[in-house]
Amino acid sequence: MARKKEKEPELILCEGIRLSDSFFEQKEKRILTLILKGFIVYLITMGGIGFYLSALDIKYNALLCHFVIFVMAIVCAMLYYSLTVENLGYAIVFILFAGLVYMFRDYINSGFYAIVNITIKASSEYLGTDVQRLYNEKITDRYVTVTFVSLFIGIVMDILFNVNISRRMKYVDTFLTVMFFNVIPLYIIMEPKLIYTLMLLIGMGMALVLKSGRHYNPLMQTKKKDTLYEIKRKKSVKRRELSYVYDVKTLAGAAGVAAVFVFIVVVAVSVFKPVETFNVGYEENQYKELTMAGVSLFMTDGFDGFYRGRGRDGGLKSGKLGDVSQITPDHQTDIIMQFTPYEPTGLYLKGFTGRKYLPYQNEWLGGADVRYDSSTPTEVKTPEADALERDFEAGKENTGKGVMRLKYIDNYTGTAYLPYYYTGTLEKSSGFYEISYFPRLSGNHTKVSVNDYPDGKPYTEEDLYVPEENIETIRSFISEAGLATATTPEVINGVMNYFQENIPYTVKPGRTPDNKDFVNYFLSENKKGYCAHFAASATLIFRYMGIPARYIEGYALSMEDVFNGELVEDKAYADYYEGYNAYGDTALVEVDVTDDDAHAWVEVFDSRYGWVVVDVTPSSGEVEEVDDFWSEFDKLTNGGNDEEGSDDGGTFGISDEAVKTVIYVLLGILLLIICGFFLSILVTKIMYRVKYLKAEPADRLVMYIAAKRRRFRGKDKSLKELINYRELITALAERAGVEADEGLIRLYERAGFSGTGISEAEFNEAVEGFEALLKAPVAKDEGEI
Amino acid sequence: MEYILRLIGYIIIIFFNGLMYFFLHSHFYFTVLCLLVLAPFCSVALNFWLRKNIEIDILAASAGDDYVRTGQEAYFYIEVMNNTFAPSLDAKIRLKISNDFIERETEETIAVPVRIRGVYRVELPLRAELPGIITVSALSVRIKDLVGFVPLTKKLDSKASVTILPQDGFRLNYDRNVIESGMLESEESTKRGNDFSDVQEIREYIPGDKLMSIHWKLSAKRDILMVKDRVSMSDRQLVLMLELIKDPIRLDGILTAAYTAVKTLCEEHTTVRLFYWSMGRYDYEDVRIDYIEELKNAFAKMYYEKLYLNPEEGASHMREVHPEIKSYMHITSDGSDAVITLRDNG
Repeated sequence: MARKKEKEPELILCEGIRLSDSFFEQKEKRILTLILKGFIVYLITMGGIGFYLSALDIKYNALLCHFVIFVMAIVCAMLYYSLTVENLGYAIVFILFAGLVYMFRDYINSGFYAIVNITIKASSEYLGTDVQRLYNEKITDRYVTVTFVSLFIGIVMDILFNVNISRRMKYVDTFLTVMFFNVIPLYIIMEPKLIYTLMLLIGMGMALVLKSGRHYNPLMQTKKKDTLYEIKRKKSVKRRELSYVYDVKTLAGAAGVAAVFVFIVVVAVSVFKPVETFNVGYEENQYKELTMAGVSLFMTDGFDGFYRGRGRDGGLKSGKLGDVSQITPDHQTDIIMQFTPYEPTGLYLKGFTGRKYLPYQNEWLGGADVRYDSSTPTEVKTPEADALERDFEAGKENTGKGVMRLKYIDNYTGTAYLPYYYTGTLEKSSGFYEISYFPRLSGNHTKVSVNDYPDGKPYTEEDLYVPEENIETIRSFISEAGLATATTPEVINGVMNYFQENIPYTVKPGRTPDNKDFVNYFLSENKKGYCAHFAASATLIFRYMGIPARYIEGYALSMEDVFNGELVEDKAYADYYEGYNAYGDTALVEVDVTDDDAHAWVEVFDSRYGWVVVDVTPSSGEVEEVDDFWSEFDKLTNGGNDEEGSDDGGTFGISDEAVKTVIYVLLGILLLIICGFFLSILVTKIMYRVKYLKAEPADRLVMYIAAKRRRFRGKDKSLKELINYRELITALAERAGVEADEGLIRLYERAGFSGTGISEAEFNEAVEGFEALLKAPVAKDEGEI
Repeated sequence: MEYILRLIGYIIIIFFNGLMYFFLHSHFYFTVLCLLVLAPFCSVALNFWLRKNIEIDILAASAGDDYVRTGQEAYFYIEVMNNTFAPSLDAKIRLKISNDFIERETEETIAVPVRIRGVYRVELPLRAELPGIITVSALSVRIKDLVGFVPLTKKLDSKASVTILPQDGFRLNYDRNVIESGMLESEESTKRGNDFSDVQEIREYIPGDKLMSIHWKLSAKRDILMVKDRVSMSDRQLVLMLELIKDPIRLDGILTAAYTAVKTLCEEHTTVRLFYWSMGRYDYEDVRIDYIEELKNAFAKMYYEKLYLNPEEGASHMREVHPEIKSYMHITSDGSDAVITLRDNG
């Protein structure tokens, strides 16, 4: 028997008076309302984008953006015409959008980086930091690329805000989303143009008013989804309200009043408190100042700056090797150095001396030659310094004596970084440590006698020690480099040349896998690295070839760094330098030694000159490895393996500590979301149960049957759609092959539709009747229903 | 509670914006703060203005006919008029919907919009299932301001009524003999209605006199309307007496039967005297009905009577009050259906 569609009973107002169904047949004007919502989304989206761009004075095609974002906002709003249109429409929009994004990815990418670069520059200017890195803009026409990225972001925001605004008028969420990035220009005291402030705030004002009015949403989920009126039930079925869904004229009127109010206030504020003079005489508050260091770090390093931490000395950690996948300097000043420049060669500040290499533990045993944090000032002296001092005192050519002043900042190790060749006592004066030194100037041939060393031993067995585990690899290297029969100078030059020609320098060599030795992995597998890789390997190679060598960590400054320093005006040159100076009488210069200057090199023992610096690290052609989004994405999909031919199986990508941390955090968030989901279900169920128990019998019956209806599964799934009590009970009775109980139907209708309510006994009767129908065996002719 | 929660939420928003302003000292956040602080005051001020000027009227109309039948829709209209520039997206009107005759009523709330300088009209189609007078009264309106903090209430005094007559879409199945046994003399009276000899006196027209009683010739001569005052030649007429009992379902049956019977007789050009007991006056209402229009008016007037419990209340006074009536048709209910019986008043 085909089930006949019955008309839903009309709403009983009181005995003898019903509200006619024709009341609910009046239609709302959905299209106009959706246009209004689309307009609000356009105001917020364009206001938000214009806010950022105008604040940073970035040029773009504003007219085109207004037009496209407006059209897109209206189109997105129209998707809410019905559920079908919404589901289908969003799928089409996403496909089209993804296609366009892929097609114009270079423009979008470049535009995005253009905005980021402009932001970084503006921020650096405000924060007083140097611009450390900028992103590579593939397409340099910023007017075009910024327009593209504005359209891209605008469309994304249109889609996102339509979900927020059209459905629930979530103006707070929307405002937070818009302001998430727009806080950046505000932080650096850059205000948007008035028009965009107006657009954003008018849009928000409209959304707030509409949300407060609570009559803006069509009835998408109900049968009568385009009806102008609905019944709103409150707490109990007796407390109901006939309510209009929405009226576009009133919505437009209210939105208009909000717009006028916002316009008046914003313009009035701009007139009485002009933006140009708003911050005149204002000093930053202390809390903002506290955040500036962090923001500086973020601006220079992005999120890397936070999760990689600071003070890692550019990846050099007192002899610990291979623990990081890339050098991530924090660009902060580690040492403030005052000295007088004397010749155009670089300057090395030695700190850590590695004497014994521990294979697989990837660590040099050793330590600081001098510590500045010791309780009593220590007199320090080296045979090389003694010899140079003698020649200097004797007035020989190409000799000189300097005094260097050093201030160690955030140096938690206590290591004193000192110049070659220091001598005397490290004394503190006016916040600086002072040390004398005798540089080996170009053309200086001061000899150092073996007898100058304690016990006549310039080096120990440790300085020639090569671990067994490294011998095979080193032997292969020497063979490959053709150095098996070379002399000491040939070995040193040969190694330097080989490195320069065959092994590239990179700041991102990848982390040494846990089960591999740092030197072996570098020389035989990875074949790329930064200074620590070259210095550590060269030290062992030299030792293998019988040359006493040590691994050294410290800072290496180029003359460019020195010339970027500032003159110290109140200090006399003569107090800080004597002897030969290639520049003549210069002056005391203050140089900031930063993490970027951190370096590793080798000291080898020369029978004539003693321990001398050998820097084997090849020069780097790498300016800044900042890849674009797509290549980063590509790397991500390849497990972070960014070099072709790398055979580490993507290990460093996954084993990198930072990546691991990110993964753990993401897993944690996922776990929290899952827990939150189940918790919300539990809370909802408890709340429902409490509400059910507290409800009056009529309300309880309505809740009971609604719960039962939701549980229909399988063959009974169609019963879910039977909202009408009569239909549902009749269908269940037919399923059981019995006559529908008219009394039971009336009881449910009375509970659901009349204001008279039911008694507790009637509730029990109704529940029992319904349960009996549910539990009744299914009749054979069920299929006909 | 809703308003308090909204207010708390709004204060939190102001607080966070204040923090942002304190932290950034931004002109933008200063503007936002000004807006957030001023908005509630502006909204409330507009709401006071709106409350002062809003007008709400209840109007009624019936579908086609002057009166609405049971089962038909009676149309009421709520007109929300606002001549200010202050709108409201949520004005809740408290309505009293009642059937005064059968003493049933309910209160309903309807949320309507208040347009800027315009009229919003809500059509409220009510389906009457029982006869009587349906009245829709607007008691008050609670107007929510734009940001939803301070709702203002205004008392209203507007109402409209529609009279609901019993259904007449079916024929009465009655025992013709029963009816005819009580209508012989009345029929005679009707047939002799034009005979001048039955006229007791001729007098001047009094408003309310029937058109058919006007003596046209004499009126033309005297230049003033004159009417013929008829007198029945018989003391036996068709008298129909119905009981106005309190049970609405049974009463509906009685009224439907009475209405149908009288209407049928009117269509057959039979005059009927309709009797019902008035509890208020403690006397019978005696209405002479010759035409359908008179029948409708009689029912409309009857709806102002007070109902009683005893289904024989009306009949119980007949012998004392109207001993001259020998017999009459009595319409009452036997508990489920209406019953028409011929009662001898002797």
